Amino acid sequence: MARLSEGVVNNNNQVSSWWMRDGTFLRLKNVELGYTFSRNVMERIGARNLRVYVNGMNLFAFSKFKLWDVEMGRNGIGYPVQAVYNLGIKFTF
Amino acid sequence: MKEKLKQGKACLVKVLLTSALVMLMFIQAFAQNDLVRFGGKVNGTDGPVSGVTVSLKTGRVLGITNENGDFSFEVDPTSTLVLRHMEYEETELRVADYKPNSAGIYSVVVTLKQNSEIEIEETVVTGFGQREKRSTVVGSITTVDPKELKGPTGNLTNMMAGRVAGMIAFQRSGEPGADNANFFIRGLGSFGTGKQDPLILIDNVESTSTDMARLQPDDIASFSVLRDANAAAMYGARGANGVVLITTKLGKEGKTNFDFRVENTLSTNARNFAFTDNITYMEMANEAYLTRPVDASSGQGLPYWQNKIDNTKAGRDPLLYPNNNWIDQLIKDYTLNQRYNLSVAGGGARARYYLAGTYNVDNGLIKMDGINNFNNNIKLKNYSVRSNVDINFTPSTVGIIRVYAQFDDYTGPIGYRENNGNWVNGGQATFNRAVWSNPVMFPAAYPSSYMPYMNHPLFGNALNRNGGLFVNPYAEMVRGYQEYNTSTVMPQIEIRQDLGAILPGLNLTGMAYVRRYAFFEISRRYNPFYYGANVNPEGGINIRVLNDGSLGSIGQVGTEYLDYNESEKRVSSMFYAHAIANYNRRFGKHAVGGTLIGLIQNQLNGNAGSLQMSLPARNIGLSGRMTYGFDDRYIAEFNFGYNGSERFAQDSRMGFFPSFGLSYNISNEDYFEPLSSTVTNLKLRATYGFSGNDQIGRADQRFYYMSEVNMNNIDRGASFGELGTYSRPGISIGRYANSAITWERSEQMNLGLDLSLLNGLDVNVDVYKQTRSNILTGRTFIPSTMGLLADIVANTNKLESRGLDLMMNYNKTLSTDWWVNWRSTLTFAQSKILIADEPAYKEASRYTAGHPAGQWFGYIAERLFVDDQEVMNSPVQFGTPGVDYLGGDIKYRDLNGDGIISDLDKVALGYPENPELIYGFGGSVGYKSFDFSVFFQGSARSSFFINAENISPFYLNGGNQNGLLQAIADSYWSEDNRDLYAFWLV
Repeated sequence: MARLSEGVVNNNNQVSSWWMRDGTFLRLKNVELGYTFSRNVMERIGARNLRVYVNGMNLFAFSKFKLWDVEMGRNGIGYPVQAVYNLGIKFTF
Repeated sequence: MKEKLKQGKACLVKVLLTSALVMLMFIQAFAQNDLVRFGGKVNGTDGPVSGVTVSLKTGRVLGITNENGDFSFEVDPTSTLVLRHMEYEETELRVADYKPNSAGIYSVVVTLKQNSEIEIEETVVTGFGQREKRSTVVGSITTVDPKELKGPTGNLTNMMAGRVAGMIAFQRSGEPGADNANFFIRGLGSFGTGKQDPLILIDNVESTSTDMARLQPDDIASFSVLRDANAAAMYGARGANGVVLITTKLGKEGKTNFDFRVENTLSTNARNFAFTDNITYMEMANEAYLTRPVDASSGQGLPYWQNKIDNTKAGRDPLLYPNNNWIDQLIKDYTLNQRYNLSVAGGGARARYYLAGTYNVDNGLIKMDGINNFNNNIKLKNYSVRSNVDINFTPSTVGIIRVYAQFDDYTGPIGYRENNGNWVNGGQATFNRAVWSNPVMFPAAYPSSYMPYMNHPLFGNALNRNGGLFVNPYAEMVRGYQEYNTSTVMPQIEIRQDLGAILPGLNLTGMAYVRRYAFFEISRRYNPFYYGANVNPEGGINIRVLNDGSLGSIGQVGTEYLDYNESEKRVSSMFYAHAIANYNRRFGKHAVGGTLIGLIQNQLNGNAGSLQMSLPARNIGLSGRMTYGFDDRYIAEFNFGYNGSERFAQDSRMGFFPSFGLSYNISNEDYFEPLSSTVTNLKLRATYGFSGNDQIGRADQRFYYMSEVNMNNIDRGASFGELGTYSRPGISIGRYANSAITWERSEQMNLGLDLSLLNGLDVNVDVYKQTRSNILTGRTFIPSTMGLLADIVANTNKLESRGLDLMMNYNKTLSTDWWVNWRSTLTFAQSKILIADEPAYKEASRYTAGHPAGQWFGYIAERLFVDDQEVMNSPVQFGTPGVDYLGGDIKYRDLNGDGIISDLDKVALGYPENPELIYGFGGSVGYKSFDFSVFFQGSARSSFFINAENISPFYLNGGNQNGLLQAIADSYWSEDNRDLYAFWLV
């Protein structure tokens, strides 16, 4: 950060390589662990298929940029990209 | 347009009547006494086969088998029948070989042998929802298993990055209702104001990315992306940006199948910004004040007295010495969301249905105030109902009726419109204000116990150094709410008529839909009452209202009631119809195919705002395809789109977009035989062709070929008379007619390779080059001495893009217990501006031509100035050296050496803002009942620029005063620590 100031310093707010950041990232987009019930269990409850799963999204990202989630880019102080943890059931009968 | 539609309808009726007549004639011809009734069932490898053409060996076609594989005809007992079907070998039946039953009726069961030359293989949905066998596809089409797009999100577009080869996708916001990812097929193919995103078709219905976002992967039957000109040529002037084709599921014959999915999700910020502690904030604010020349006339001293800092540090009365972390105070740690999806599918031989209903709740992370009787957090509820019914009206006629209705109900904090006209959503505004608000001058609100008789929240505030009130981000957040509702309803009817009875291999399809969209929005809010605090001599604090409208009241006067504001309502209607004639037949080693498509489209906008905008938007088109395959080895394809758009002058309204393609199935060659035990498929593809983009320019400038003249412009009027009281308006020109304006034209070349190995590895690689010409641009460098009143636009710009799409999948069942798969894609897309509307610069570095679309230009920062001495001895930058900028401010490179930092020193910086490289990889492994999968997604070759004013601490802008991010507190230039690269490399 350049010399601090209470007011806008025009000199420091120009589009320049000073404010340029690398948008490169690699993120763990999805992880999922699922369990499909055995035929015995399914028959007992009258299901053709029953699967429960836990999954997650955007759990972490590798990036040189740390101020905010790098995928947001210029929109960085906006509503952040969400990391999500989920529990789901899929039932077919 | 109506005339044509009528003709089309009349045509269809004629065809149906004629075919009925022809059938009757057949029946007549055979109604002779010595004929016998010969019938039976035709089976294939998977049960009955419908649509088998039954004809006499002498050539006359009798008819086709019904959906149960049954047929029955009256024939001469000495005749021979021939059964023909694409996927099976031709089979002859001699009537004399069979014995009739006691009633003299022949009933036979025939099992057809599968055609050894055509394996039953997956089909690919191509242009206009046609299905093509994977092996005969020539164009560059990628498909994704819809299951792969199922993730823990209610937004389909969030799952596409890294999973669709050829798609550059990224997500800039996580706000419910505004979290659609941006996506481009093969990157940006154009630049300027025209449409750059792909054409999205859901069951052939032209859709928005939000329509697509709301789709449930469970309901999707196929997801294909048409990437090259050959695949998209049939879409003519709509296809240049690529096409995303999605079809939804149809019911299957059999027992009713209920599919129910319920998900419960915990959602949290992937990364929050970190503020520093407020002691540091105040100390650095004081430093900011002292480190620059003090404007003595302001008469203001240090922003924060040591007394306040000490008391804050000691944690004394937080109402008097506020110590806010606005993110903690405005934003919840997590939120819970629910999703439910139910589908019911089934049916019989005559009719099948697929019904689905969805209810999703997406909550935001915004906190609420208990004293309000409304919810200001974001809550987006979306629900949809889908009904896809297909009915066999006759053995050769299928009717499909699809009805889809989707609704969004949203409530959330109130957004605002920026000075430049951009709308900022309420959630985004809340996060913005968390950064833009002073953390130590006022508490969010005082406890209501301070004034128990008040019905409104006691929001905190204070005077800022400009004499106004601060923006209290908490008050802004809870002061009201905004609601919007959208409805999209799409009924659609499709009729497919198999005309195999007349000409084997011929079928007709007619489809029409109506899409109605409605949107309305209401917001309600009150003006917050603000209170300031001071020390009560008896201990504790007193609070005092600041804006009650009395003498000395500051700012907007508070209210206890909600006001009401309705914004624009958007309604639109689209009508679309197409008719397709399709012919596919094999003659020995020769496979020929042809498709002819006619379409009309009419779009109406209910609140267009002007006469020209209110006129219906129309497109008509004729598209076609011809294919020829020899021996399943060589396939040639010709596609065209012939489109008309009302946006262009009458005599140049129609555009012709041809494309050619060749593919070579090497794996079907005889000499390849020795390898076929390892390589099951090896195919080369090459295409070359054109497509277009008629969605050019701004939406409010539809008819470039017409002039727009304002006959009543008061600004150009004149006043008469002694007193000048009689005035007449003048004439001004809003647009000059330019009949030469035309669509963007895209010339594309694509080379592809498909490889499948027996061990389960599938690889597709495509490389391409696209040249987009005729890109519309404003002619910015026409001298004002020309005397033109309106801006001039022309189709001058040109962009080239090239890249690579790669997909590599591996599937393997290792044993009865174990299976594994691997999926990966890589999309590299790079563009280069060939022609841009630019003057002749002296400095070559200033041309945008030669750089990618979306390239940013700016100054090269060298480092920070060491001291004021260096400032005075360097080229002049922005403002007066030594006054407006000092040692410790950014030093730029004077590229042209003229001693002044100006526009002439700007150069292209970094990569373009949209990434040039998107990739994804991951795998799944299953063991018995368990399955586990991981998927990584990456992005590279993009640069972005931090908006300095957004995050530079202490900037006072109106009532906003920026907070201090930890990263800045950790690394900044100070007089004691002259770090010349502070924060640069953070």
